[in-house]
Amino acid sequence: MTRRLLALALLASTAASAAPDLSGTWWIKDRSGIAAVDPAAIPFTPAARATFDRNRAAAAIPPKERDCLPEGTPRLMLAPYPLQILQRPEQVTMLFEREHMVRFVPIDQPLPADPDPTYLGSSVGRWTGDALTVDTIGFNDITLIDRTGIPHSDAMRLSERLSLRDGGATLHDEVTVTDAKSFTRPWTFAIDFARATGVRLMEDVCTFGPPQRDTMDRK
Amino acid sequence: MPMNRSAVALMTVAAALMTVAVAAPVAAHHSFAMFDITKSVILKGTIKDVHWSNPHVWIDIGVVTPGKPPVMWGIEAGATNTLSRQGWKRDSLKPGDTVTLEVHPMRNGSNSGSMMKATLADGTVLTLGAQGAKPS
Repeated sequence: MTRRLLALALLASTAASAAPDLSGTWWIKDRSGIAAVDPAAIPFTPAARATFDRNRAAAAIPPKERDCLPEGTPRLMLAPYPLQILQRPEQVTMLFEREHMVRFVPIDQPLPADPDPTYLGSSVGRWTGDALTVDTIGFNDITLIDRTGIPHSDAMRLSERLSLRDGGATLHDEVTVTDAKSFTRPWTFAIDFARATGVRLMEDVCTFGPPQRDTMDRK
Repeated sequence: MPMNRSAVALMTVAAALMTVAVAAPVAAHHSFAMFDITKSVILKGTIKDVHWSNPHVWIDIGVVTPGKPPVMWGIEAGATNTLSRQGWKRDSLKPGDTVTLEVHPMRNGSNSGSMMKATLADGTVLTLGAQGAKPS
């Protein structure tokens, strides 16, 4: 009896901790760099709408893509480059070939109270059923959500739900954007990544103008 | 991946004669593009310089039209990793090489374009897809 109870308890604890394994190399399926959502369905505030229209009308690659600054979250997730996920119980780590950025997602930790604004924001994750839910706050306001030019403010919060589909061949990321300064209500788009077994991540250093040789004579 | 351009391609052999007078309607998903992906232009000439760097590789080519002085064009290609994964090497094109390039021209008609294909003097053909090689 005791032994059976013990076995049941073991089974239960195994089930509770049976988070899917998101580890591996992934590559976005739609390489357009665009959040696949109808712009008409994005609940822009009037000011954000004006910014978006201005960006879209520019009909050129936005300058922010050209000055080598990081793209920020969630645009980094839309990059047409592979990424690698390392999963440990205490942290999920996303290594991006794009600009060699890294997203750190500590598990079951509280969000920082008042983080400094950054490109990628501050993330925490928790396992919810068969998905990893990632909450991110603390963004600066100088990046765009995608390459069509969807703006956001420093009030943006992201809630992502990452799960496996197609028997583990697809990583699905459902991204909900909340930003009262830019949008009248939260809105959601999804990104699908294909498992990219055998793809090796490469160095990606962006330089604006000719690279400068490292020397010791800088003032 | 090479886009399906056969129906819409505007092949202009003598690039120096080309003027892009009116930009084609902007495809909804590519409104950022300064290049007109519905058009292609053939450029024959001599490589002047190759900037193998990120965010994008740039190639300067002196385009030759018989009886006229060479005209300099600047051609934007993808990121170095994107090119590498599609078989390009940093020395695939070298200054002095005689090549034929196929590019999407700029909407504004300036002497610039985005790389689609390079045919080297020895017949080697290098192509550049829109967004990098597919994962294996």
